[in-house]
Amino acid sequence: MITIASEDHRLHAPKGELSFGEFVPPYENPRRVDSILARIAETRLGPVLPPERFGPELIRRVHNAPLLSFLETAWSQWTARFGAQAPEAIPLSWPVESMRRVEPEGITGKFAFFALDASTAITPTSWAAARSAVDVALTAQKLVAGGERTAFALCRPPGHHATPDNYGGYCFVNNAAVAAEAFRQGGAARVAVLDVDYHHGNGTQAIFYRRPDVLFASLHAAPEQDYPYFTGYADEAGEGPGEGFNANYPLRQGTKWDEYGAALDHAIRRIGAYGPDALVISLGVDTFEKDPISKLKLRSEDYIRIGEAIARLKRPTLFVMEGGYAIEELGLNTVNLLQGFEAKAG
Amino acid sequence: MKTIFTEDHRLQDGKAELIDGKLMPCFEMPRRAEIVINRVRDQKLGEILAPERFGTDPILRVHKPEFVRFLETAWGEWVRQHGNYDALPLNWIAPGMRRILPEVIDGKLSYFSFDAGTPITAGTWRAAVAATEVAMTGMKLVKGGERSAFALCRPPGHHAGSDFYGGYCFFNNAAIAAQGFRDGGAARVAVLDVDYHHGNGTQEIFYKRDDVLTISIHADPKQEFPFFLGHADERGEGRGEGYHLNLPLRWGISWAEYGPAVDTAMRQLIEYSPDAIVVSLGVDTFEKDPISKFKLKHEDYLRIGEAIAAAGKPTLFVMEGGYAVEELGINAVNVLQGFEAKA
Repeated sequence: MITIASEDHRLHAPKGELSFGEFVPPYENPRRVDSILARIAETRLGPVLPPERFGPELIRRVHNAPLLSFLETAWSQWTARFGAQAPEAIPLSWPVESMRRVEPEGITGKFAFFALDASTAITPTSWAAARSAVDVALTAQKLVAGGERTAFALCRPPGHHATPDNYGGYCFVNNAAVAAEAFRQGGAARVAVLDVDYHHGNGTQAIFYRRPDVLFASLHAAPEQDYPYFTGYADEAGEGPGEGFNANYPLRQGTKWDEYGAALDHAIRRIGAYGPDALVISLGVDTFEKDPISKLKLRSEDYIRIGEAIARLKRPTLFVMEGGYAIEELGLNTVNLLQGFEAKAG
Repeated sequence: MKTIFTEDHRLQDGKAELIDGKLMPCFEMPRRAEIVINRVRDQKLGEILAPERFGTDPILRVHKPEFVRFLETAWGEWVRQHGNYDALPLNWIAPGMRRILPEVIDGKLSYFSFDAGTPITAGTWRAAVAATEVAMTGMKLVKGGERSAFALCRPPGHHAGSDFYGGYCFFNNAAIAAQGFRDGGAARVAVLDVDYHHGNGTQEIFYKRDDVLTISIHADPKQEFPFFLGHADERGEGRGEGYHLNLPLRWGISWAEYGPAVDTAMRQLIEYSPDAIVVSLGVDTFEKDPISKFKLKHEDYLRIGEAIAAAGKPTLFVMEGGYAVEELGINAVNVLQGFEAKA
């Protein structure tokens, strides 16, 4: 399996992450990619290639212009207000239900308007890193669209929490959604996105919620119990023309492979029935029992099973990296999933 | 003028708030109330009384039961989950998400909050309830015939809505007092909010009601916190249409612009002919306030007090914002003395 990776992910390396009232070293950090690349080399998974450059057209198809123009200029607006020595930028407040969604003029207000959490710091070069992650996803997508059975887009920063209008949850641009859109633009009539990250892929859901041409299925922690809390319930099935094309599988804290495997089987059957021309996997391995911020209980060997189950769909399959924060085992678990896939993909 | 005050405000003493990308020592600190009460004493403004006990009944007249229960239990749940340090939320209900109450404390903080600058601490509940009792005691004095009273509330209240907290506020002391006047027989009550920040909680609580006129003079939400409410076109809704007035002003303004806004507010207030007035008294409009961008001077606060006195109505002053610079006491008491001089 070919892996696409860029060194530019290092451009997004905040010094601190706000975590429940204190700044901690970010869980989402460049060492994550190092761990995965080391395991790819060790297991001889396949070549690791740099990305091509892509323009903003496909990004503009999944994100609205005000968010993109904010992300592009956020740092310069932040330093214009707070000076060159300004700390990394995070929002302070947000609109509650009784408030209005009118974009403020000042940068502090814009952060409150475009962010969906306070844990995703913006640094001077975060946007460049986010753009490189999209290039990684689109380069790998191009390989699969061009006939490769599969490819692995080692994206960082991740993307699945980014919605049409909001960034957060460590995500700026929704790499998987942009890749799914690329498949559609390249002629695929139907695309399925399967999200196995621990956290609900609220961004991907929001992007495709009213569309029947992209099926979104997500296995994740129950929103009553974990981030992002307010989305990911089983009754969210899509809307309008998209009704019936969104499938959420919330899982309670402490879930092990027996229940996880059953939910995965259901999702795989659902995708099989949809008959997609291409499959995008939002690949998070923060479902791992030792993940520092998560509460599912998968073991390293379970990731092989996930890969095998995905292979059974026998579709051109693009893997897009999302979360996973147990640095030591991150490479092992990620590559286990890819190897499980390859073993059954034939 | 009598002042109502309790040392229980000290129970709200957060370690840090998130502001401009940094965790800073809380601007909303116990020192604020000390500065104001010291000035009240120095100036011999009048008797200083302790609050009576009211319990949670007056709070439940304007806040939803699930929100009150949340504030009562939040600290205990937080300590069980995280340990003994201040609770701040991490994320919130973004567009496209659903307002369903999560089971876990982290999610509940997200559900009920609107900023990451308002820590819940071990003493928050008791301090917040005590502040409402300060306001209710002041209300009772004025209802009982005093021309005016000063409820030296801390934590402040005007950002707290029927079921959300934030902006250093947990319970809306001014709204609870306004409702107290109504429940005590006043047919019409007016709330005038002169804090630098828009009183979004007070607006939300009374937005659909015509029995409480709410007026707020504040920094333009396009520029300033809370950002998403306080525009001039918000005039009330349903029965409440025409009974809310926002007077947003741009950063950098001084009395030349502020004075006419006070005149506009007082004209509408007097025309409404309320039986009682509640003033949300913030003095973070001061030129040296550390987090604000208006340019009012000491003497301008006398003018504000005089303008309010001109309405000739029973008036309760409820302390809101204004941050711990030494001049905080001068400015707050200047409003009260300006009022008394003309009352």
